[in-house]
Amino acid sequence: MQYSAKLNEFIETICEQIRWKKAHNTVSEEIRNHVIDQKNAFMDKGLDEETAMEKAIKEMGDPVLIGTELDRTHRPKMEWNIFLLTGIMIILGFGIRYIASFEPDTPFMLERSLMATLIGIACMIGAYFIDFTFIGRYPKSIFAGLTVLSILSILLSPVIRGKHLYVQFILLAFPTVMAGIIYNMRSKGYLGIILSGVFFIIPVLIGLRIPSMSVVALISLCFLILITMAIIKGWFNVNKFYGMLHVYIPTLAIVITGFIKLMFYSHKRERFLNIINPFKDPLGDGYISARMREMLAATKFMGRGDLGSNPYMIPTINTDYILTYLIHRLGWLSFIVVMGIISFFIIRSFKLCYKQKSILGKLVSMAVLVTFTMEVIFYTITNLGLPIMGSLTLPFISYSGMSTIVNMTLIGIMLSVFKSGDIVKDSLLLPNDE
Amino acid sequence: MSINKNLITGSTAMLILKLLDGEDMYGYQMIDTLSKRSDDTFSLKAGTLYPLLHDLEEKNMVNSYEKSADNGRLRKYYTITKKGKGMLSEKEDEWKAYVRAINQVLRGGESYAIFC
Repeated sequence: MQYSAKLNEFIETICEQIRWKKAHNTVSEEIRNHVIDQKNAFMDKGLDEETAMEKAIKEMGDPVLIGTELDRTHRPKMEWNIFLLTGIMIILGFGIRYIASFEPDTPFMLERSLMATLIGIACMIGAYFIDFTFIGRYPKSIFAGLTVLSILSILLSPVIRGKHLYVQFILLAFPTVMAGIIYNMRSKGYLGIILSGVFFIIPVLIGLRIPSMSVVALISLCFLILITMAIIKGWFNVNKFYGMLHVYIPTLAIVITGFIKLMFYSHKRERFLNIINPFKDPLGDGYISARMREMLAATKFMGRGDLGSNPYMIPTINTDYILTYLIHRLGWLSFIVVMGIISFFIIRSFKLCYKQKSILGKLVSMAVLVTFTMEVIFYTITNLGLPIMGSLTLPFISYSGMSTIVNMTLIGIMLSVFKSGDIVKDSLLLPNDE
Repeated sequence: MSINKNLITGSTAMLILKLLDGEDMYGYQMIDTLSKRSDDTFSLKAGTLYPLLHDLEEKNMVNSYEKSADNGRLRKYYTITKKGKGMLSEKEDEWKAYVRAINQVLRGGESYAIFC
């Protein structure tokens, strides 16, 4: 067709003015559609195709002018708020851990923290520039890579307090990779739901091998939220209700089995009850919860709580109980400030996630954010006196090099979604399989 | 009839928002509807429309989504947001005040504003 050469030339001239290359696809498709509509309208009025096309293009106006105008709107967006809040959390973490380092057996670990933060910054910037659509294009390779990395870490990393501690934090990246896996199950029906679940068994098994029930619970909750979201959005192209049944019947079965197991193994049941009601066994299973509750009970709104002599009998303050310590050391006000900053970060990010148009952008940014939010919730619950599970990590605040690196990488991925999510199109990423 | 260009471009955003307040539309449809409803007074150029639309979207006044048309082509539809509705009613008020003022002047200022 001869006329489309003219149309292509016209569109190219527009795109040449738009410096951000990623925006070219969306713009050119919309303009192309418009010109074709206009051309058809002219043809209905009796013009021949070539004249109609010429007239339609003329009707559009000056391509250079249009392009220049569009260039003003289409710029990659850096969410400075999110970036800045991440920085504030990191600095806050250093500050709080510095205060904690005055307690016995609580080293500051400045060098290791700095090292982890630097590596984290590099990963974050890298993730920001490697476009997040990468996750939608090669989810299986990334999944395989992360699996290999986790298994290697299990084989090589030291066992700390009975656990392969570092591996827990690597697992925190799995929900985000699962977003890519789910994304690639488009229109695969119930099979897509089941296959996503089958993939998810692998990180769960690794988590059980660590062993860390809390990380398994955390990533499972994230996965449930993601797959529920995908079903509601009609991603699998199935009846939503039956789709949900495919997810929640197995989930319920697992939860009930776990509960029954807990109730039948008497030592586990007792341990559980002792943690909830710590003063029945304040020197055994209930030790940490009992000390925590004593600390929290003797806390002021501002300033150091009063515990008499030798107040801090909780081990691993800077990794597992930094919030409890903070509340006791500086008062509830400090807790409110820290949680306020974290909540601001979460709420702001949720608003941006909500605005994402492509399913991939939505799934990936939600995966990162839900993981982050769950980390905060898990940590806060344990630190407020219910250490039923491990507290894992309070992103950037509690000490953990590996967690800092993983969380910064994830936030880099989220920033990458916010940068270009507006113009990413699902239709261009996946092959049309209709 | 043709009207001075400045008057039109200044209020184009308002007209677009008004159109979208009725139903979701794609670009060509907006131009077509606008020219029909105004008896061909407003022949909005696509070259003006799209930068404006994209700008409104950037400012969260409108949102867009894709829907395939009967002929299989993917069309980008625009829909007005809450914020856009707020801006529309603001602009409408401004416009009414403006028109009232113009009319007063045209009528020779014989109106209510004698002692102002």
